Amino acid sequence: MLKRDPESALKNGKHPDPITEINFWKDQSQDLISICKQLSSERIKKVLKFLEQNKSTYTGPFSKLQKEVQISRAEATENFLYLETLLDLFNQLTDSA
Amino acid sequence: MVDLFIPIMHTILLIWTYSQHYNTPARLVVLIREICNAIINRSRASIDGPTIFGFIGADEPKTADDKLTLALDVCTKFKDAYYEYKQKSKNQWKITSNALFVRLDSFSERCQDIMHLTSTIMQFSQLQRIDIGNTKGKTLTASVMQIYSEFTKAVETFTSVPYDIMDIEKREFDDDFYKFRQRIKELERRIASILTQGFDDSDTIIGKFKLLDSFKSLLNRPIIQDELEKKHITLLELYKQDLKTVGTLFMEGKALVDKADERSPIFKNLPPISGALSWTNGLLERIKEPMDKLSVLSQSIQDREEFKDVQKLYASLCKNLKDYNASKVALWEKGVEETTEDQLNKFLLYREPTPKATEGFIRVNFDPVLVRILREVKYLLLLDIEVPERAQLLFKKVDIYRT
Repeated sequence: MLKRDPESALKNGKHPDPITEINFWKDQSQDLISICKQLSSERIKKVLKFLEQNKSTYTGPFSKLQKEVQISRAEATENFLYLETLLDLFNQLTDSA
Repeated sequence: MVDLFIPIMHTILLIWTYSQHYNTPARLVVLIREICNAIINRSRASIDGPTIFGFIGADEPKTADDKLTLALDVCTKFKDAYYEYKQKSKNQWKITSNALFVRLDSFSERCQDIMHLTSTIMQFSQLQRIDIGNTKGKTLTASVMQIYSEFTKAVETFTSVPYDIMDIEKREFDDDFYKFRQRIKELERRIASILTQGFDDSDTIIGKFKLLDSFKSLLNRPIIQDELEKKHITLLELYKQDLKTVGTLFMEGKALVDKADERSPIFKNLPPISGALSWTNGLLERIKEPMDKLSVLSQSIQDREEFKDVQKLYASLCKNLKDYNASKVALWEKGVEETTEDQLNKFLLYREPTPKATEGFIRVNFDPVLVRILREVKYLLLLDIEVPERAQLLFKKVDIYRT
């Protein structure tokens, strides 16, 4: 999920228009936001506490991953925010009418 | 659509400047390439293969050509907009243009290929209307018709390809288009040979130019042009000959006119000044037309040494003729200024001199000099020559004087 790349849309022989790019970041940011929500939910917190108390080796990588998700979420949300300003122009560009 | 490019690029640059994350070449490449895709889609929506063939079939290759020009223009405009903002980004956009525009460029190329096709069709359609004269004219015209029908067949073969020619993913296009071009080249060589035959066959310079004229834009095609270049020397020689003839005619005629000789080359019904002028104008026209055509014919002919000679000869002859005209008019104008005033101040009527002063007929006292001037003015105006004010005033009242 974190490794999703907007360029992949261009690679498999299709020719997407710029709106695809905006949608990509929109989806990305929404998905990551929901993951963040899940990660900070009570249940996960409980699991984490439990793991910590038992000195599990799993806590280190997990919190690292959690941080990465946070960063990606911020990036995706920001990208979408900026790209949204182009949406109107791109709509005019692709609208053949 | 073109108007959108600048705002889009501007916004992209703003995002690049202010965004924390959206300012890497990788992101920009994707975005620009996707914009290119959108442009190509739009262009193809307005002009796709079937539409082009439709225009060709309906004998309107020009319309297709115009639309393609527009599409090409849009592509260049977008690239221009990109480079303009690349500059404004203070060269932070370090991306090879090739990575960005590979698809847009191949689309432009395809457009150019198709324009090549439409312009070929436009040029060849000229053949339908060609009719070659002179002794060999009939066989030559028949061959031209033959070539034209073969050309139509070639176009038909090409236009019946099963794919959309504006789809750049269709690589078969290159092969098919190559075949078509080969076919056309062969036809061109045949046209060139017909053209040279017809050229040798017609023996006046005007005739030769008419022949060239009838092929019009086809003459711009490289193969035909090469073939014709060999004929340029002949053309120049002939024209030079003609210039010399006109020169002699002018010298001889001038002598006769100055002596008011009966054999002078002036129409019987024209008064002397306008008669002389229309004669020289005739000579001027005779040398001017081929000169104009030579000048637009091709660049290579103008680079020749012979052409410069001819040009000099032409210029001096033109100058002589024009000087002669001017001197004739000036001389006459002077006469007009002097005579009219006196003549108009005379009494309108006078009595014929008879022994008894009161018995003679009453006559209109209108001097023949004035009549002569009025006639000149009439013809000079017909020849579009500037007439002195004095004479024009006189001429405006011609109806009054006549009654």
